[in-house]
Amino acid sequence: MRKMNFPLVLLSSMVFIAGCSSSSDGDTQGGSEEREINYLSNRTANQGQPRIVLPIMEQYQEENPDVSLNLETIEQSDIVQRIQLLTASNALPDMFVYESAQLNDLIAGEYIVNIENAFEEADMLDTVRPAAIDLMQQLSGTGEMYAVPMELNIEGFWYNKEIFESLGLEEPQTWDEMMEISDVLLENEIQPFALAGQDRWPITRLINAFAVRYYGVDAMQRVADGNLSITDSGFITAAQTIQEMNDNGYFGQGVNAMDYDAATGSFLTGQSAMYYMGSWALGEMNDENQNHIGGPENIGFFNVPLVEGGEGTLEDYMMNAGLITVFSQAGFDESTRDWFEYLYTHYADHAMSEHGMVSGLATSVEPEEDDPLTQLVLDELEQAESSALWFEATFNARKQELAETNAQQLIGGSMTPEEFMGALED
Amino acid sequence: MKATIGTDQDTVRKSKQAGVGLSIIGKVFIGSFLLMTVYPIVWLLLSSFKEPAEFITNSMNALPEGLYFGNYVEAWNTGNMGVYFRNSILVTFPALVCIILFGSMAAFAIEKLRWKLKNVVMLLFLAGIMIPVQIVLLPLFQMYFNANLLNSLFGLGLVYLVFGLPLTIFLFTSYFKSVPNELIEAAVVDGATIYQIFFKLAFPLIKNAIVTVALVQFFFVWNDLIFAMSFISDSELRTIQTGLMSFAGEYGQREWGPTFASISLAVVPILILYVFLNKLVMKGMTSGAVKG
Amino acid sequence: MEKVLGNKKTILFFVGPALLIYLLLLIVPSLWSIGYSFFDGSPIRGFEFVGFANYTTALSDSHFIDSLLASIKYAAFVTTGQVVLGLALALLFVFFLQKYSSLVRTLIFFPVILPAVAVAQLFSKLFEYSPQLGFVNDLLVTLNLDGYVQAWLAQGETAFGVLVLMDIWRSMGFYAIILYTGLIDVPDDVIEAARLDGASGFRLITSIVLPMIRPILLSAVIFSLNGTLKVFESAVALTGGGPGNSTTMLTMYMYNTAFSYGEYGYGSAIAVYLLIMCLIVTLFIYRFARKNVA
Repeated sequence: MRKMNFPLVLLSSMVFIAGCSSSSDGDTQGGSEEREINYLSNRTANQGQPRIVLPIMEQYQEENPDVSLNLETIEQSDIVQRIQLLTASNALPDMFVYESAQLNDLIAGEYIVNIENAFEEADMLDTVRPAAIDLMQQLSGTGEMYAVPMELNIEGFWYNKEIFESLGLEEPQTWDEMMEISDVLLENEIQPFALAGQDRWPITRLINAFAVRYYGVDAMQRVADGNLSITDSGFITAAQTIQEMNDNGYFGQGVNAMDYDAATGSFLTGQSAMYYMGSWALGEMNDENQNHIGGPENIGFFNVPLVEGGEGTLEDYMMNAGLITVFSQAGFDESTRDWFEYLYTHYADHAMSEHGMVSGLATSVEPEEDDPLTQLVLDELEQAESSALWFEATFNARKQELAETNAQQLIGGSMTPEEFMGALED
Repeated sequence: MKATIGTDQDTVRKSKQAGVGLSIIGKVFIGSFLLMTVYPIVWLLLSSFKEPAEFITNSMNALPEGLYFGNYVEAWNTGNMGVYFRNSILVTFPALVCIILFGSMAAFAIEKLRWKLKNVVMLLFLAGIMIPVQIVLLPLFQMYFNANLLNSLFGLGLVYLVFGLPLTIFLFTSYFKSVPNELIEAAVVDGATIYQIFFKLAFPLIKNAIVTVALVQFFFVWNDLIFAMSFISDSELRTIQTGLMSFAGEYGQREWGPTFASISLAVVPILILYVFLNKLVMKGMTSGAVKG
Repeated sequence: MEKVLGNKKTILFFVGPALLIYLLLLIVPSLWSIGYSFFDGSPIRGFEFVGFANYTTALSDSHFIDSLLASIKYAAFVTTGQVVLGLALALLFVFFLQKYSSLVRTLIFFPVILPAVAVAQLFSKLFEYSPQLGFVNDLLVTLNLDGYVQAWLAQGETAFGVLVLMDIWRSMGFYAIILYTGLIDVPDDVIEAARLDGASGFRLITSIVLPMIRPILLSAVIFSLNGTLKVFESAVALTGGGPGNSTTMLTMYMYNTAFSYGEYGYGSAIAVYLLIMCLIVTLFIYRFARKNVA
């Protein structure tokens, strides 16, 4: 009998507490009290962004011993679900990473801080790279910046210099040239492109790359605004081109079963010559255990080639800010605000000097001597005049899923380009 | 209540009299099954000793070039496998014990005690067998949040207990059916209290069912991903399932070596435990069994 | 008698704990969710009453229909495979293996205790096509069956097949053990009598043994369907529902709808459909079982 009392008491008290549905925001107390800032990320303390944020917190604590950071790590695929659940319970973390597809809901519900204003008030807006501000403004769909670009990636084609040189190939300027290069590579029994079809988004990235060169940098933005139809001929051509590339064998066999690792591995072991990817892949490219093609020196980069008669220019870059970081409105009190300023004053320099990571915040630190790729990324960033988001960035989550799911069918041939684009029409 | 004693001898006799041809077919059948069952696991263990480069350059079926323990170091240190393992055990076994205790008590009451609402209650429990877990996720999360039960193994175990009950009760009632009412009535006449009747008489009579239920529930609880994913966010409290999922990176990178190593770490102790328990389980099953 | 077996306090003691937590943590949240299904929205966007709109939307939603069919197909294949193979194994344990029975049982049961996520990771490697051939394709090459080498997990049909195969592999040992416990209970004298009547081998099994273990066989089918209709973990871990949406089950579609698309009301409506489907199947089997047990 005694055994049962514990859970019973607990349960009945649970009902009682659940009954008085309280919005428990009980962790924000007065000024000199202890403040624990909750930080939700998809990476652990020694990975990704947290490995930069946590040491900065340690520095910060020397002055502010009452403030601490509580990092919680969850899977990327669970983030949206977790935030939904936490929103339902009025318990958003003070600072958390989020998927851009659902950002609008958080903005509309006034759950998260307007980062542009926050930087403005802290007089720090000039420390954010213009390209990054542009990117964040596009992302939020409101023309204002609601997330901090803690990473900034350029996307484009990485290629194996040695293979190109041995066959006398040049960086292609146009998409047609790239197709010709692919044919030469095929003749020499080298797979032209590595493509992680299993992860789905790499396929739509290519479709997007073509479309952006055809319509210009604001292609998807115009679709979102209703000024351009997604079934317009240029989009159909884009889908058709990627399907053709697969039919020609440019992506090798069984592309839908290639995951990110396999594709990266294929490129870094010299099995394939080109790889469309964002600069976050520098980690693998610089890793001597993974790079078996003569180190980072042997990797070159070219921006997405032009499409004949298209509007796009080589000053337009595809960009990406990784998972974005937002701050909850409810938790943005004095202590969080102070921490926010401190963090973003130091973040970019730490990211570059400790990890060679490029962020959307300007830095005066130069990359390491032996890190030519990071320098390359910075140089390309200098040239970037405007940035385009990825294909699904302006879609809601359901449409994003649809685009990615159908991309596999498009490439597998069980869906025509017209069907693919038609399914994405509102 | 007929006890089957000396089952082993009986099986020997049975099989001796079964056709020899059949037994050869049977052996081939079993042999191929064993191969299919065991080979992937052997392959897994071997793969866990491969160096990172071997995954990229060598065939998947190549033997490892040497015994590389780096994956295990990685799995243990950064993968935290030991902790996940402990958590899985801490949450699974108490939940199993409670499922069996509460479930058998409720089933006993429904099947053997005399009260008006027992059929209604039974139907209510039966409905629960079919409730998909996803349906309760959000409301339950909100309740848990308000009761401060998130990020606690106790809270997680409680969910498993609740979801394990319907099926358990369904099973136990059918087993209690086979316990003759006269037996219980005779015990009442002898002056035994109902608690004695349950714990000393009825409960031991359904040993078989207990083993079966424990296995079934173990299967569901041990493999649960959805609750462990939703209710536990503290990495120190992760279970094996969620822990294994966490080897995937932000853009989908997966490190196969450490992954295989952590799977191996998760599997070997459990195997040893099972082999040890297996004897007990089988012993329990083959003695004093009652027709279900 | 009535005083002992009908004592209110006693009954409360036995049923109380189970019933209380069951009502509180399962029935109440379920009703709560059913309530959500009449609303449109999510915790983030707020809720708006829409009546039965979610239910009618589902019927014309091709994704819903596809995932419903996928679930049914999966359940039919996997349940059949699990129970039939489990039974075959259990019969072998009892009739053809004595010396090694316990060792074999242990080995066959082994995949059951492997975490589902781990098994999925293992199978994705076994059926790998690129960057290098996995075990299965390698084997086909060795057997000179190069024509059959393919990207198993990159094509809808074969990916579905691998998923079914994996889940049968994962759980047949489990059903073998469950059915084995039932077989052990078959009294020897029944078998002996049948033998004297000239029954042997296959006929002995189908006409004598199977009827004897019918209750446990039905329980096994119910367990199995209970798992397969609600499959989630293994499909998520092996294919994530792809390629395309060929392995997206109803549970996954529901989960995505509610948590990834932020359409909580619609997701709840899908869950209710799932509940109805499971209820129909269970009642059907339960009826069948009752009749036969009686």
